Amino acid sequence: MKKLIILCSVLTGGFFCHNSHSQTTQTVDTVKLRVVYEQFSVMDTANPGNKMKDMMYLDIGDSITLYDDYNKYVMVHLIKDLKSQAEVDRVINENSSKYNSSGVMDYKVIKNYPQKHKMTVGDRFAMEHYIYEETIETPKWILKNGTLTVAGYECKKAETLFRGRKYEAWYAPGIPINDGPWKFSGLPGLILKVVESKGEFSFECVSLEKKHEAMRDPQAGSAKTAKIRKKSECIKARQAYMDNAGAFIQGNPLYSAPLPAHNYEKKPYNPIELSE
Amino acid sequence: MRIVIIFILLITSLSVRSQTIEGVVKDKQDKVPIDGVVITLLDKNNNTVAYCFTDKDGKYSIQSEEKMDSLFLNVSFLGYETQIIFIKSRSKQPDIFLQVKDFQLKEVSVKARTLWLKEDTIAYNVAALQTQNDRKIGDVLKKIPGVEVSNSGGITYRGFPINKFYIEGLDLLNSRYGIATNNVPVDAVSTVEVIENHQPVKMFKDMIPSMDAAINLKLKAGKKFRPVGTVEAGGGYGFDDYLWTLNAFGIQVEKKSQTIVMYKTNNSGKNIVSEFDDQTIGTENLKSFTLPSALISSPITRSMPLTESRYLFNKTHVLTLNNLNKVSDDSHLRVNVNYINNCKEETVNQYSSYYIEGDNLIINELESLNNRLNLLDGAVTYNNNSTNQFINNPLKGVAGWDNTHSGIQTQSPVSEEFDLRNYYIQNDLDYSVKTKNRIWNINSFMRYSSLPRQLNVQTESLTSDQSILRIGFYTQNNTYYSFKRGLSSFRVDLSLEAAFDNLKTDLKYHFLSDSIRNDIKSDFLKTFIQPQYSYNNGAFLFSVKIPLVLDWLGVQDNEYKTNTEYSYLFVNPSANLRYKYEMWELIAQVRYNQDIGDIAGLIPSYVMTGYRTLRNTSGILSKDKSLMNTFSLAYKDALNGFYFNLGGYYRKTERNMMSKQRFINELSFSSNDQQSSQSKFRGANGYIGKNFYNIGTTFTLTANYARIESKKWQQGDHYPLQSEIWSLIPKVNFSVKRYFNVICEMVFSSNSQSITNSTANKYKSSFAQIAQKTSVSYFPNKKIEFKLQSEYFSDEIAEGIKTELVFLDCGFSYRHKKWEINFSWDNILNQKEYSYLTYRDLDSFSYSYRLRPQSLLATITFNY
Repeated sequence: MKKLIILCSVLTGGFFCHNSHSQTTQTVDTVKLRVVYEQFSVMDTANPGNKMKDMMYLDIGDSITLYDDYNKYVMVHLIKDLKSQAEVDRVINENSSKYNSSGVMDYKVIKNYPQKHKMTVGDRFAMEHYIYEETIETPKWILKNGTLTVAGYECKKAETLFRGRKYEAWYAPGIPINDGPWKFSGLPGLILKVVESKGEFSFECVSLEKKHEAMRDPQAGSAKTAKIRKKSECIKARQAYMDNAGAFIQGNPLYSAPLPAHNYEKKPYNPIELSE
Repeated sequence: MRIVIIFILLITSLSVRSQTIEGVVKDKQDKVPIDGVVITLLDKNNNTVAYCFTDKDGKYSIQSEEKMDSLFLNVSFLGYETQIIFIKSRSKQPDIFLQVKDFQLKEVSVKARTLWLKEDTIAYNVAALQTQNDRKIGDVLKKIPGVEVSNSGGITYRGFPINKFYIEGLDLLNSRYGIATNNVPVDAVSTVEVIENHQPVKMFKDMIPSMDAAINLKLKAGKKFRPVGTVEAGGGYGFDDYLWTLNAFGIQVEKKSQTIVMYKTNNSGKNIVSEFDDQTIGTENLKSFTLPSALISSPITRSMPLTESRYLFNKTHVLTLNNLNKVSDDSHLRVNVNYINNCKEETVNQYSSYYIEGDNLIINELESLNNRLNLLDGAVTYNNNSTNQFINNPLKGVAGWDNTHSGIQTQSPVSEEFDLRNYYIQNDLDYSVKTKNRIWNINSFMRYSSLPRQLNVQTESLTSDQSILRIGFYTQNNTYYSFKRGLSSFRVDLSLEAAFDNLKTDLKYHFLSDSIRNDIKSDFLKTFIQPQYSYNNGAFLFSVKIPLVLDWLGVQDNEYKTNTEYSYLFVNPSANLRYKYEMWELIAQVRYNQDIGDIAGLIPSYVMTGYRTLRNTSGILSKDKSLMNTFSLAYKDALNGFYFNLGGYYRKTERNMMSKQRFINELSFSSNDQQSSQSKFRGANGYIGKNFYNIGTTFTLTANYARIESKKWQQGDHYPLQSEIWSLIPKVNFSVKRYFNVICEMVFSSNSQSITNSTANKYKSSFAQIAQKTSVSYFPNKKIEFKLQSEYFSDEIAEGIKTELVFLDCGFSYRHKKWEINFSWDNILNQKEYSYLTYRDLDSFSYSYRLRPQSLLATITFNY
């Protein structure tokens, strides 16, 4: 009898409940505008026809501006809203196959972060964050005649020489805000298109969306505890990684087996910044 | 004064060449300055003459060389109404007030969404990781940063076991995913996804974060909706036997179902049984339901510091059938059936030395073992994983027969016959349902097991028989409640465990007329409540658990007609800390634990566990108290290729008893003595890695040290013992581009034992071991691979006596489209025996094992 009582209490006593909670990541600003750019890069200058494509988004807040990988954003937010595991599987299935060795790097630029007039630039490779900060430098633009419609907006033309490359930019006076893709800013309207003179880099707006949502700390997570390094160190590490990734990671206890042989070969690399 | 003059000059000179317009822009409602307003100076043709932006005080300053009377200012900012201001010819403008206006955008949608997950899911293109000597997906998985793959196919990511192994998003194999790791052909897979922080329960997503990762394999488009796999057949000669190997593996992935079928057999020394091991599933899965002990175990499960294929004499057949069918979008039904038939042979010369009162009792045995294992298990699992409900219920049945015949040559021949059987059936229900913001959860595990054991010993004309039967029912039921406030989270776990056990043993020993029996029944109940607090801000993680455990055990001994009840209340606190700063990471843990044993530790009468070993546990319930501390410090500077880890471990255990051993001639009687004992374990490990990128060379050094202090009761005397073990592993990896790779590894290890009591006779002994391994791979082109490997062992098998052994193996493979041919020539120097030494407390054991002779094996593989 005692056994029976014990057994019954075991089988019925197992119910309990717990409250749900939401993620509490620090909010740093409010996003008011989201712009998505198609970014093309030529990494192999010997083969300029081979352009790598990245979808990047620019989240413009009251102060902070985040330029980051759009697919990363879509994946994180799209999946969250889906109803069933089956839908998640379907979305991942449909979309991950579209990936084809593109995606230059896991790269982001955060303007006015951690403070005004500064920007934080983050790169990620070989399971490490490489983060540096620099003062926002506005390119010296020369306004030119000429108009072009980008994403439905009439744009005006400007030119500059920035970090060793010549660029032609198109900005929309109809969107009166001082911002643009990557490290660009400083035109009397949002920069919707930028083309490098040799065609090695280009940025073009494909979508604009009005927003009113919290901007989560863009460096939340593992990047928060990473060391802020010198810009020159980050560039040196990226170069060493592109020159010989296999050799670069050796000795790191995170990599248990040597990488395949082709990782020991030099990969084409064409840095966007040629000078300070 | 001079400065003022210069200043005036400057102002006037500027005003000559250009005019400056200045002013402030404010919000019309709250009169607060607006930052970032675009001020454009336009001419009458609407061309931009100049522009600027307001600063944080709303101030702007714009210059122009043109005549100001023909120009106007366009003041605009996103979210405000644009104002046009005509300029009178003066520099200072009145304040401009902008009216808030909801901005309208011509919203444009994205043309193409190429999705590529970088943070949560990291996808690896298999073609990019694959090299020509990779065959199975496991070969590629181990190249993914942070991933390690064990020989049995178990996967860890950043040092922690993965919590799910998916194929096309479905969990077909559950904990037996080693079958996939070791057999899915690499050519069938397009992408491997590592899903970090994977929460497999859909409705817990965004509520309960997970620290574990999962792996998902995505097959190539042409490898779905049809059977895919490999057939590999081979034969060879092993210089006293013919060798065979046959592997057939097939996987078929459909939209609503998945199937894996595999049959493997060989006698070539390759362990294919370990692929069926249950892998650890995640770090947050605290469930472990080990079978109770039934006192006798098979004598064949020895392992030695040598690659298993060098000493494994086997004849193995394995068969697995796995099928998953989706019942709906969110639920599936899974059936897994496995059968193992494994025969193993072992020949060993064992030289045992037992320390007795300053002298050694030496026993020399030549043992030849023959083991036959038959294991059949089947499971049916129903899973429903939707946004408001989760059910996972595997029902599993297992039947296992393990027979070992052991023929021993000692002073007189002895034979042992072990017959060990396991039968059990278990059900593990996990059910959660969500209503509004709450989750109701129940987890209930139940098992009925029957474990019959037989041991028959024949010495000359005498026979002894031991039989054991342990029958039990066990159930464990858990639930928890959790909530989060800011960066802190609280959780309370509640658990109820119950076990009903019956252990019967019967020994008919040859010189005793009466049989020796145990017959114990027990009821066990454990209630457990565990409050837990944790704080996590990304860099700093801290958690404390304070479980309160109430144990109740009622024991009824039918042989001695006694009834005993035990009840205990334990508090077992523990704390964890992790701190990350830049390139440093510190982890520390403190744990205090108290626990009691089960009825296997309560048998008063002897049980025979081997022809010369008898054991009882003196009817004393074991009670352990332990304190454990661990810490680790890691430093990682990838930029300079420098890595450093340092870890430490300390454990102090107090037990209410001491194990004792007594010899009468060669017969060993072990039992427990009601005297408390204490043991201390201290350990440290270190790792240093330095990478010289420019010469493609990496040096790493791993060091381990452990010191154990304990006490041993042998032949009526207490001996305080101390043993020390250390090892040092230097490794050099040298890669010369694509076609040539050299890895050189050495292991130095040393083991020493001593009695630390000054009054007893001094006893100290130690032995050392050196192992060295060098492997060279050469790929002249993409189809051909040559491999050469040498291993060197130097073992001390007795004081001052060393054995040295060199192994040489080579291989060649040729690959053409779907076909592949392999030749391997193993143990070229035909080494026949491997000897090594181990210590256990005061006793030392020296073994000499027969090795597989030189062998030639050719296999042909077809991938379909």
